[in-house]
Amino acid sequence: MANNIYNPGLYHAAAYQVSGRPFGATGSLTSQAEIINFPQVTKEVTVLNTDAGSDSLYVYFHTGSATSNKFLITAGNQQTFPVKCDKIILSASQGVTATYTLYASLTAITSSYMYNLTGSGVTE
Amino acid sequence: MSDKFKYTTGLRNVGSYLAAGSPYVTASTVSQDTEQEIQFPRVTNNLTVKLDNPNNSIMIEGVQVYYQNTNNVAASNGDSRTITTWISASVDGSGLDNGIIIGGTLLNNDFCIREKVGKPFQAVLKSNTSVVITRDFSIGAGWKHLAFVAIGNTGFKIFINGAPAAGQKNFGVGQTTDGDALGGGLVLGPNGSGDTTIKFRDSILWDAALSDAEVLDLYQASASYSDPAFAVANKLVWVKPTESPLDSPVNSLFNLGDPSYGNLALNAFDAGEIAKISSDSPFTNSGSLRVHYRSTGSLPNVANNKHYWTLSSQDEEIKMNVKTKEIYLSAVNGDCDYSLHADMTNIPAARMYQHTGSGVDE
Repeated sequence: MANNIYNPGLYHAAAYQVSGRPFGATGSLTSQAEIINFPQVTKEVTVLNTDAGSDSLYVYFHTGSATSNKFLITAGNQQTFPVKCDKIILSASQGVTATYTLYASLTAITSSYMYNLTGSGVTE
Repeated sequence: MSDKFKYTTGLRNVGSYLAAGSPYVTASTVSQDTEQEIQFPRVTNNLTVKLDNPNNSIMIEGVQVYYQNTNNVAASNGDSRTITTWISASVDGSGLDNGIIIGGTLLNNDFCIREKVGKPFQAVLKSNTSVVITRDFSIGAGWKHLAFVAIGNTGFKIFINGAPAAGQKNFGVGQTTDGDALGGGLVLGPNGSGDTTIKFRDSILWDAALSDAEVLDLYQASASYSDPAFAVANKLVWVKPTESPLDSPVNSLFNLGDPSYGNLALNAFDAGEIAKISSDSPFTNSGSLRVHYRSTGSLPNVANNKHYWTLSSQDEEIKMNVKTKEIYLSAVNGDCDYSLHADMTNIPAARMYQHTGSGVDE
């Protein structure tokens, strides 16, 4: 019977139109990549750099991203990414520690439906 | 099955814009008076372009840590050199006149600006007869442009923010600069003898004595590297920095071989000390970043008719709900660091037409 349970697919537009399920995370970053995995596919992710100093953080969507495939968020600023993904990667610069808080709005689409993000703008 | 029978979504498929897109992120620098085209693999739904701060600085905090130029250049008696730098420094004043703030090669206290008890700075220059002339001075708090001009057969001058300061200090009769003291590169940091928090920007070792007017011009040029003030003499070492912290070779702690940094190497880095790129800077504004949808090169009306959006201050951004397969970024009045993210639909870029007409290139 469990095999007959159907879930919305990745391109089910309505799954992105209804309000999402919240996901929150807070932590600190070094130059080592911090991977935040989502249980469902996102419809929107907001990252806030809460660092009290002047340390910036970087947002990636693949652990193998090229150094140019990043988005810089300076201390005290936030950025919202209206994208579908099953994980997001954060890091800080060498020798510094930045802090962050993150909010995501999740769809009902299970993360296993999400394909591996790669290619232009992600890994090249 | 042949690709000709493969169906993809069309440009006007509403559902493609309702679903969250796949991410596209990139960050780079647009050099002054140049243009970059960014092509997307699929049609975009939303686009955000943010101007980052290209005006960073090198921050050194500690007792031991220092950067040393490893591409030393020899000098002879009577040669002239100038050190210019933007500097923001906090010095505790108990360094017993030792910690080099900025100066010649390692352990060379004969051509440098160093800590001075209670001042907190002291300029030092040795003559060819081993007579050392000094001048104590203070720069005050905040970012200042500092110039230390060693004049071959005369002595030295100090300038703060382009203006002469602390008076000229001259050699005795028949004395000149000492070639061994001048010959070398550049050291930034206390070099094991200080206790400092220092930030540097555009630290330059010039192979000449800059004139009073040239020092003033350099101060007024700020970070506009195309200004003639940056080309009045040969630069032996030039520590900028201008790139984002993550890309910075300085942040990799060792950056041997990077000529734009004068082959700097980090030394004596100890636990608790800091040597990094800071987003603090003497400049509040950089160049302006223009965002447009056709090239300014082939279509002069893009620039002439001002069909662009301008970002001119740090972290200023524009969010655009547009479908496009490409975007152009150009920089004026200075280099511009930027970050861009887009959420892309599943519509192939080949389905997208090129934007043109009113508001774009007419």
